[in-house]
Amino acid sequence: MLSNYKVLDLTDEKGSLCGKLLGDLGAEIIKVEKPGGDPARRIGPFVNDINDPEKSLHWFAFNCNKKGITLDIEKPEGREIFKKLSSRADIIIESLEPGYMDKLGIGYLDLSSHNPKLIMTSITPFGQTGHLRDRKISDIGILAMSGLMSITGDPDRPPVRMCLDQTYCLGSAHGTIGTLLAVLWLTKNGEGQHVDVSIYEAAVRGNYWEPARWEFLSELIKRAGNRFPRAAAKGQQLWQCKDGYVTFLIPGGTSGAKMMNSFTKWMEETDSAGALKQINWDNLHLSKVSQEELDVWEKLIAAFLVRFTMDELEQAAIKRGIPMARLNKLSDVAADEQLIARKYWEKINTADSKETISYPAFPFLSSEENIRVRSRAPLIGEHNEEIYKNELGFTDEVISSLKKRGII
Amino acid sequence: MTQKNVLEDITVCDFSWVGAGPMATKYLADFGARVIKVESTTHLDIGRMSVPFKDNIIDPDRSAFFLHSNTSKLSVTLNIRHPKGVDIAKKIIKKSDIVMESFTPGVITKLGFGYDELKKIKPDIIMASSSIYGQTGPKKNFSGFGNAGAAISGHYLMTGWPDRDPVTPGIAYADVVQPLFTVAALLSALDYRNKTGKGQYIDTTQVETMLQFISPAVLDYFTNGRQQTRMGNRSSYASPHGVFPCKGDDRWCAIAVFTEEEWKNLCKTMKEPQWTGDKKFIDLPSRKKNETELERLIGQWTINYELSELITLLQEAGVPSGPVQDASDLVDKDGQLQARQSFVKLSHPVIGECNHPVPPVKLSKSPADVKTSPCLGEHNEYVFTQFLGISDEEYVELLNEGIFE
Repeated sequence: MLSNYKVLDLTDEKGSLCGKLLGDLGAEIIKVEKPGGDPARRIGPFVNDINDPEKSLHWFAFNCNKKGITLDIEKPEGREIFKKLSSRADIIIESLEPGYMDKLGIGYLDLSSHNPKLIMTSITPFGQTGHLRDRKISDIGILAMSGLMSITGDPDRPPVRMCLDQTYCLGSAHGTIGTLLAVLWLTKNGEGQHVDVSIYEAAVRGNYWEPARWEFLSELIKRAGNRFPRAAAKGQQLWQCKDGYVTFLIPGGTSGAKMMNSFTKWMEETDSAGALKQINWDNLHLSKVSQEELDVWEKLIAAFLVRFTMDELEQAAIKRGIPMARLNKLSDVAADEQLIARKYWEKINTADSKETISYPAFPFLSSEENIRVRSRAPLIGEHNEEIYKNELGFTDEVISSLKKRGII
Repeated sequence: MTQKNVLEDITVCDFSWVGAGPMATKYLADFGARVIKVESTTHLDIGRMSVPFKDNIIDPDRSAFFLHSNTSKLSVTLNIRHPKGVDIAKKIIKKSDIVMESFTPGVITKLGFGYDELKKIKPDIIMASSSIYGQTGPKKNFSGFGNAGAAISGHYLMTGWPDRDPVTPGIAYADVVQPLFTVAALLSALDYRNKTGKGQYIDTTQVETMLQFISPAVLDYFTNGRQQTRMGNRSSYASPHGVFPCKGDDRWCAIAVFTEEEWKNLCKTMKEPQWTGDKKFIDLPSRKKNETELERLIGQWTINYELSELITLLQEAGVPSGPVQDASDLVDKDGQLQARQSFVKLSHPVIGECNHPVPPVKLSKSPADVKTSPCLGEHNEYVFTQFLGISDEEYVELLNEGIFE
């Protein structure tokens, strides 16, 4: 959908998903790495566990659908080349320290004075302003600050983080949105702009419930394992079954009543509903249920669910309209017939073409465009020749001289 | 603000409810779109009945949860199960650019608002459906709430301590992730329509979008056959990497060491006790191998400090670190959020003045312009009479017939 846009991507692991998503949408993404490669290539896991910058699966995952060139923007000559590239680009995305590009003379103000239509998106831990903008921090620190860790984990253990680097993904996805908003503004008003994304604020937005709870009830929720602090009584949302776990939370509202009627009926078929039979779900307001009451109900549900396998529970839930889901292992995910039917996996060749790797194929489905992963992540400097020679018109001699001097 | 908003000429007919749908249309509304939330007084949005309520009074106009996910929108109440209600909804759609819905797949078509039907009303309409598992495929009838996406994608099982049950934060994380993809899809669809004149249908799911956020683990499975599982606060490419106790009740400091330079800086900050020179901790693989001991030793050092004092020390030394904060820190004390106006105080007609969340994206020329969230049916008169042009007599007639319920 974005096939007419050209993007220079200077991000590291903090922002690489942003360009990947723009690439999925069809934009041409040119990843600009330091000579020797982006340090994010050192992040594992690696193919066959071989620690090699060309074999990082983390890099593969967030840099597919991109081309790759190398350029040392710290060297004056490299900067001049970068200016040339940026004058032909529609969008630049970067996750360097705030002020770093300005210091090199290639900040938004410098570049936009030559190319007023330029959109620059900066994805940094705290954004371009504020007293914390230079704080050294990583994903776990940002997640810690966002308040999300204080509500995750068991009460008798330290706060725990969500798996992998979720805050970087959140910041990157907001970066994609900010860039697209700027694209729409450009179409309308003919001017580019600077998009400033704070990964911290993105994570704070992820903590969408607790700030309001504090403001209105002066209540702070402590981490409570798998008890969901929705109302006065905290509901269980993780249930053991024969071969794993399912997630389910007694639902509220009119639609929840319908689901619970269906659930109770299912239990009654094997005479397991007990006290649940007496509940009039249609007139129940969950926020008025006491913890003691809820505990009694949940005990009955636990004893019922543990008799089934995940497959059995999934089938019953779909058939009966009950909001229950299995906790999949990655092998379950890979074998999931729903994802397979939706053609969610796309096999992409590795660089040596000896193997293929299955990738998540699309961020969403569109009736108009086949939005899919099309190409693997680039090798270090893989497209130097294409970009420098064919696009900028550099001769072979110039390119080899730039290489020799470590500029590309 | 005299500045125009980027989406000010965009109208959204929004049938979505609860979490993931409304959070997507909130984004559009905050950037200027006219989002008309079509609600029902008999089939209330669960979001309106979610805690916390202003003064603890349970009332559809008093939920701060609802306010936080529905800023800048308009609300109408309309019985779309009545033929006359359907007609009026279609009038709104005729004047809309986007239609958004998040019912269980199939429901919107049964109600008479399937994409094929909408195209007849407005050929270039952009329609988005937001669901857990998708509009097509053998499990399309799956219905569920927020944590289903985390569970099915594998994210849930990978979060928590290795020797304990998996855990999830006390929120529905997929309700945070999916809307971002829905918004990106809608904005690129607007750009596509600008270029081609064509609308489209968009199908976003919690499962597929969550997988995008854990794709390195997915590739690890497909390539190496490894099933990544929960590892507490540890990271495969940093050590130490976790939260460490400080003075006081339940105070923790996040510390993450990625490079040898950062490790040396941490050792210096700790004043280089003897154990830091031990071979066991000499490089990342060694630290990973002896991580339990390493964490214990660092914890014995951090516990002597107040959290803020420790952060200052670590920051001065260039060690990536941050405090574990809770909601009171965010709302009352966080100078960074205040300076960047991450929450803005606005007045809500029933709730009064309170914080409203602002998108974490600052656009230098077309910034977000957040307004308060609507009361149930607050904009009936405006939307039905002014925007749609229904005459006053007809409006009263429809009102008496219960169409606006």
